[in-house]
Amino acid sequence: MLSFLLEGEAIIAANLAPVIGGIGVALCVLLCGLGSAIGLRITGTTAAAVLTEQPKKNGSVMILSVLPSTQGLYGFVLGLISYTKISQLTGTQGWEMFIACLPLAIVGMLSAIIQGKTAVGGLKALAKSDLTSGKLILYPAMVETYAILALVVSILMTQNIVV
Amino acid sequence: MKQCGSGEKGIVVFVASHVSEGDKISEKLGELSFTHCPFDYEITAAQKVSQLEATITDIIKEDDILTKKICGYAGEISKLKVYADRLHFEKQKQEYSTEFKKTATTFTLEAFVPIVAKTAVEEKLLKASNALYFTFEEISEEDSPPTLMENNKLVKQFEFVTNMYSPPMYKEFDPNTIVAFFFSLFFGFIMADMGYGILLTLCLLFARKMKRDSGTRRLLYIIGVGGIFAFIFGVLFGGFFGLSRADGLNWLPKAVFPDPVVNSQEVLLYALMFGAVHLMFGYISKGLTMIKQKQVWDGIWDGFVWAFFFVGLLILFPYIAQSIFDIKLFGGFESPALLNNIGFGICGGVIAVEFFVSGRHSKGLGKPVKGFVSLYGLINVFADLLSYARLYGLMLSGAMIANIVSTMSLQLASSGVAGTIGAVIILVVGHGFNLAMGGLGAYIHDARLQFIEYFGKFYEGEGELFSPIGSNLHYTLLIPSKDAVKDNA
Repeated sequence: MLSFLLEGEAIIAANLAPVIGGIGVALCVLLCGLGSAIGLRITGTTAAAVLTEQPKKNGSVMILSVLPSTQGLYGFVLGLISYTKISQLTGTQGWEMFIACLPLAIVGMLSAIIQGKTAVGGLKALAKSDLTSGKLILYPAMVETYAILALVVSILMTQNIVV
Repeated sequence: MKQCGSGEKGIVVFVASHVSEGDKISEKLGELSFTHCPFDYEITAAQKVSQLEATITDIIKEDDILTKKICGYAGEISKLKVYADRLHFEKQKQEYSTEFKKTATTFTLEAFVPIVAKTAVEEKLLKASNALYFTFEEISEEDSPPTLMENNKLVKQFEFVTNMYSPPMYKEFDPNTIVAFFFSLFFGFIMADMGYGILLTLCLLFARKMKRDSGTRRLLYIIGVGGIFAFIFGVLFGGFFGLSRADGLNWLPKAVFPDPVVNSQEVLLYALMFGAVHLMFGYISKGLTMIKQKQVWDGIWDGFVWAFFFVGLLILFPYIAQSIFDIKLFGGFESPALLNNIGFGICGGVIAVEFFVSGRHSKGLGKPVKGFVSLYGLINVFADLLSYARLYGLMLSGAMIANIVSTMSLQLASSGVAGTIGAVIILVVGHGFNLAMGGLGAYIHDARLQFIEYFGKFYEGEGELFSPIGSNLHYTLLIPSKDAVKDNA
């Protein structure tokens, strides 16, 4: 009985690494995409409102409202370059992979939503004045810097796991 | 008080009172939201209503007659359109003439004229009247002239992209040639597929059919050129509507680039290398802009030296691939230590130079502070570089959807006639959708890369496009006559 339990434990412990690692990568793609979607919804509704008043500013509005879509792509890219390693994870590497994906997952999702709100500020400024989108793009783009830094660290950490 | 009638909007009441109570009652009625009835006709309400209905019928009839009469002019629509444009032109002339300085019999007019048009304008002025005086002057510092860009026909289409952000200022370096190249390059990289490339290039045919230069025609040209690059990248990646040799189609050429799904890190690094080249051109453009504004040393230190940094970075890419991702680029190329040392040397050298040179305009403590600030710029460089990871992400998502659509329809086609019909439907709808959504995403993210990563290095914009009076006609297209072309040649 005891040996059966110990064996069961060993099997469970050894096989969980891909599961945990897989959850990490999946969460990263999932949350980043979700964040982008929410951010885009926020800018999209304001963009529609701005365009009803001023259809001529179509180009500038489009550029500003598309900015939150980046983080979804970053999550996707991280998933693409890491997925081959998932099935080969052993021991505590599953947790390593999970933690490695956390920076981008959390920062990606929240920064996308926050970037959406910042872009809305830019859209409102666009509606009220004659500012071209050039100056207004800078501010939401600054939010993205931190998502990029998180992407870098996540890439470095996931690629550092030797399978 | 008596109720006279009721309707949807309320009830009608009749109130009679003694004169002395009149004011009190009005006040009370006001509190009850009573509004004075405006009816003061001699006839009854029912008669008035039928009178008004008769008027309505008459008006509708007249409307019909007039509409038919207008439709009778249908044959003259083109003439009317030309006339409308002519009136619009006259209106513009009137509006601008309010800005002339006038006397009873004379007026003065100031205008910007492109240098290439100077002789033509002179001739026209001399022909117009004997009683005039004109002179041409150089642009001075206080003037803010509008921008007229001189680009060849192909690059001119890409002004559409630049103007979406903001047209260049008069004194700025015209980035459109570089934008034209990199925009098409990235668009092609994202859409990389032979089949999609062919379909996109067909847009060029549609563009040629449109005689008028409009936003749509420029867009079609841009997409068409992007399609050419998409075809080239499709050949390099060996993809045709999402299928490649790996799916069993041996008549397709062998892929030169690695498979973007299997060798994900490698292709990601190639995308980043394209990005490094683009950023390099961003700093080169900065240098060129500053030189155009006669600030040669600023152009060198802030522009060309930083551009050189990217040369070093590009040399180091195989080393980065090896150390971080543990892969080899360019088909197993292992860069020799000498090359890595050169790369590090260049990067380190540029950083050192920038540290010392950034403070050249400041005094005392400002110098090292500016130096450290320039090092912070290094972080921005890496942030910009990683932004190009989106090229890879977008390309792969499009390629995977294309692959799924094609394999699904091939499977379906192998099961009878109904299957073939279903396969054709899936092919058309699936690839059509993928092309549209992929194209839209490619355009937007490509434009974003030009605007934020490239323009962010040097561009100011806020220019005003040169649009002479009478140049934006709605319906007519003016083509210079052959004589005029000969005169100006």
